[in-house]
Amino acid sequence: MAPPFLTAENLPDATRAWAVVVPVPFDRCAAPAPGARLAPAEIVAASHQVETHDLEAGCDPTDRGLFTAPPLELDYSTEDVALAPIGDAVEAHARAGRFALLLGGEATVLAGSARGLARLGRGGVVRLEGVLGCEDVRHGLRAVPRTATRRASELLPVRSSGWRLAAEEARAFATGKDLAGPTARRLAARPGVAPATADEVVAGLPQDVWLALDLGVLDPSALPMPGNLEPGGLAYADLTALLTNVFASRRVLGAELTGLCPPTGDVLPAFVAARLGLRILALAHRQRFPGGDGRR
Amino acid sequence: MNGGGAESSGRTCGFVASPYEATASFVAGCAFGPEAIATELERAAHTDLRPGFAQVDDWTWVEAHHRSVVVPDTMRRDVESWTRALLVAGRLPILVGGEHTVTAGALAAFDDPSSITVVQFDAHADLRQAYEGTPWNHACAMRRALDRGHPLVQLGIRSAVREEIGEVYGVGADGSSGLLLRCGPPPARLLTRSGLRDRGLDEVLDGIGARIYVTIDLDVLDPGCAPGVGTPEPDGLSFWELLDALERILGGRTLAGADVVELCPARDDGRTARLAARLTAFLGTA
Ligand SMILES: [Mn+2]
Repeated sequence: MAPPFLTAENLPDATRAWAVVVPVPFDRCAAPAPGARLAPAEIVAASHQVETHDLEAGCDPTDRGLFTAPPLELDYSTEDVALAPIGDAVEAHARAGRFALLLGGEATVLAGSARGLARLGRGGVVRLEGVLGCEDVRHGLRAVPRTATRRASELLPVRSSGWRLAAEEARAFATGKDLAGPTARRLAARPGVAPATADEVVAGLPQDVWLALDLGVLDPSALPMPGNLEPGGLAYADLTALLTNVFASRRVLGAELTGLCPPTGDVLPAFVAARLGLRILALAHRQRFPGGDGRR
Repeated sequence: MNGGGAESSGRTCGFVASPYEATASFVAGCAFGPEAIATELERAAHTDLRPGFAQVDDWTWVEAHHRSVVVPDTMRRDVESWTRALLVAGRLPILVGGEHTVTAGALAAFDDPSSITVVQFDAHADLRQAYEGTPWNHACAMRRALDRGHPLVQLGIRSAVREEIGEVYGVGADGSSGLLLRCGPPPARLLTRSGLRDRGLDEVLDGIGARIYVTIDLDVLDPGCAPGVGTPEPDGLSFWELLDALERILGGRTLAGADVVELCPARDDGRTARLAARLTAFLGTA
């Protein structure tokens, strides 16, 4: 039995949990580096070093009980078969009113989440990613990190922000569909430059959103990791400020955290991912239980 | 090791190395911190970093105990006695860790705790009553300072558990209300990392007395500029942000003692040791 995320003891099942953590070891194309299949276990292991009272959100999201599900079993025989369990999990938890946090896995996970969200018939996607994932086909595959945002946009409203790289084709598609939000350069706080607001990040999206966070949105200084070499990414504080504002302006159904590529050779990247997982759960907890300190 | 040199007219410092490591819970290796800092102090001692940094031209380095010492009572006894010896000799004691638990040894050398405010730079609150079976865990370092009756000012904090915040700052205190917590006596203030960025130091300066002891856990810095710590936390201070805060706090106040702790050479590429050496030199000449 794998240990649970953040906590020492797991709830017996999802039914009594307000939030569920779902490991999704999706790793099909070794992008941006090999090893995403190992990431969920690494993030969970690092999470046991995280102190769980979130000072900024003002709550401890483990208080009301979390359930960490067993890792999804993935079969890559076809694209549909591979993505189906992701969509099924997202749909089931959303229908039950539980906040779901998916721990990827490569950024392709969004192509699966979007299928479940589309079946719900409501919601849009706040996409944060380092490379604009709006290419159509790559290496003959339709569901890879570079195409995941486009796949989602074919099913529901999506807005992608924070990216600092984009293929010509991806940029043209995003512009044509009006799904390109502010880039990393516009979101990075620095002297004399007012960063873009969260309004631009959620513009055009419905009230209910799914938060699809790919860790490649962070600068290499914040997330030193193979495959994350491109300069100009968001600082950790830029990202957490953005997350706070997204939660302030939309109801967040759930989230995915993707793009960690172990082995990174250091404890820090998985710890940063775990820390972001705590922040997302804390913000979700505050949104769902305003005023309550969550003490059982 | 002894830096030697002519006696300067001003106050001189003395470094107390405490390679104590008994409770590091994430990445081990802070026992090798003092050695790495001493190497960088020697290597970089003759270049001023910027105006405001004086050369450390008369300094004494003593090793309080060997790194095989893992019994907290022994460590505290040895660090306390060397700190007292420096105070008697009229030198400013600068403790070089080792894990954060070593601060307790230096503080024990001061017989008037209520008159010395402990100013802590740290990513973690370090206020636990006990952790992993001991009150002498590095996650309890500042709780022990409060036990002695030191006023406490905590800066840059971004990691905590609810029990320690509730026990010290009161049930219901959660950090979200303006990111500044207060309680007492002894008076304590906690300014979170975001609070420091957004509100600055103004509201905590009144809680800092005329005599201060500065404790710097290197994990207060951003892992991008100080990766060599055992418990890295994202969103830390930059080097200049830390120095600006130190200068502001030291202005008009007397530094009674200081420490720099938690360097973990195993995670370092050399830059954190250099930075730690600069901080110890800065404090030693403050
Ligand atoms: Mn500490």
